[in-house]
Amino acid sequence: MKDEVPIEITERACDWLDLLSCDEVNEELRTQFLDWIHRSPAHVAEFLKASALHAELSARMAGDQPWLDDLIQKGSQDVVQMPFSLDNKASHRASERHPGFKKSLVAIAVSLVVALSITVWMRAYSDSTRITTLVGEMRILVLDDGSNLELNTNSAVRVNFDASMRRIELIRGELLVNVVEDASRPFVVTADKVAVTAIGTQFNVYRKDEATEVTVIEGRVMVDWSAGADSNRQLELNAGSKAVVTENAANLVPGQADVESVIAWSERRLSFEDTTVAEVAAELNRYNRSRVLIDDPLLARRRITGVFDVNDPDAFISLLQRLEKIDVQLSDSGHRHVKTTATNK
Amino acid sequence: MKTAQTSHQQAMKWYQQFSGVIEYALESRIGRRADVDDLSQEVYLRLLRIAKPELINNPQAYLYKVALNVAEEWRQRAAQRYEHSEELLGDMAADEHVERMTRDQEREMMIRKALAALPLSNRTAVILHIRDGMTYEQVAKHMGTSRRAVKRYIAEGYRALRKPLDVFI
Repeated sequence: MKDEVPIEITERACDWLDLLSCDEVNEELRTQFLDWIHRSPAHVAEFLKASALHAELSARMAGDQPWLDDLIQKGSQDVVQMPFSLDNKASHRASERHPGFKKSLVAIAVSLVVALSITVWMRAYSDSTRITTLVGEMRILVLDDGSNLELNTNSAVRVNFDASMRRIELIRGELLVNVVEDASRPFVVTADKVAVTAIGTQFNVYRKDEATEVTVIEGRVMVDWSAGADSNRQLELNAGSKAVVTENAANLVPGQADVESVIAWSERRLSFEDTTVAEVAAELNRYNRSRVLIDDPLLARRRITGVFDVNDPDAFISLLQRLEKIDVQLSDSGHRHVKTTATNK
Repeated sequence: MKTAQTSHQQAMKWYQQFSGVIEYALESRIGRRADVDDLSQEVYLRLLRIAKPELINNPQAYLYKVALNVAEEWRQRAAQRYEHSEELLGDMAADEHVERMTRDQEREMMIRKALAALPLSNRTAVILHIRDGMTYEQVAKHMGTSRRAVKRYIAEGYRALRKPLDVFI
């Protein structure tokens, strides 16, 4: 398709359409429009295309169409900035009782509304649907069977339900699923060579480059993974446990998994306990296009504890500022490079 | 202003006709497969020949009218190339009707799907602008952003929407 005129021309065409539909169109405006049209056939084409699309959409959106309501943004979806603490677990706990969390629930409710409409598409258009999120975007989907699927930032799944099986393929990223029990239709999440089977449970699957992490919040799951030459292995996971599955092994992470911090992302916050600055930066970078890069090995290895709003890397930087004297430089690509300026005491 | 309003309504009417006729002209089996870029080229040349004072009262309406004429001429010219018996034409018309109905439903589905696939800001802006008839200014206020941003959202939205529709626009 030879669609590729610069976006500015499409913008200008849409702009004209908007301006000309106002009541007060004076001669000056009309002259300007005419001059613009006279300048190029591409302008005529873009204006006609925008007009035709506008006409068609107007016709199709007329009348009572509740599905449209579900598609639009309702109010602000901003999440309040989360408090953070310095190397202090007690105040980390306190932060969880912060009233701001109510707001993140509202945000989730809003995305639920959007998700509901997406469910409708899924039912109507395809048995196998691919759903993706962009960097910084999260989605909650209510699946056909009533199960909930939350998709974290920069993730992709393929949903494939049929009469005998409910299958979700995690193509990349992370999901949290809350499964509605249905003994006749197993619920299976696959991530590369790992398959997680559940009956009535809630669990989180995070597909990383080197490994896939499975954490069970409620109930029980069976983790299958193929260990090379056709041999399949199984591992049963109970609530509160976590397994790291790599190319050829599945290891149960000893002790109780910190379930809360695993699923904190679903409330658009990230919680870290005794985690290196480098890891925190890497996690935050999953959610934001402009990255925070720690150029200082000593600083990168420092351990911190805190809760962050995923959309607010500035909070992280100001935490670092409290820890050390740092210098933040913005690169051409919009990333922030962080270095310590003075030698530490 | 009453006159402005009337001429705007006239323009609206034309462009609705325009999208119908142009679809028919460009997509119907008797029409040649062409696209709006070809048509626009012709419209552009004709507009250049019209004296400015004549155009200035309602350039938008003029533009649609000329486009409508060109599309209609193409359609007629294409129709003349075929000499069908009455009978055959009758059959075709019936087929055409069914085909158009199905195509219309498919289009409706495509539009819904394409809308749902747009990023939230883009589809919010498009829906508020088109369904609720808000101006860019009003959309901007509603979304808590600038008119400039809305302009971009809508342009991007239109571009994304017309791609999957892959037809006359």
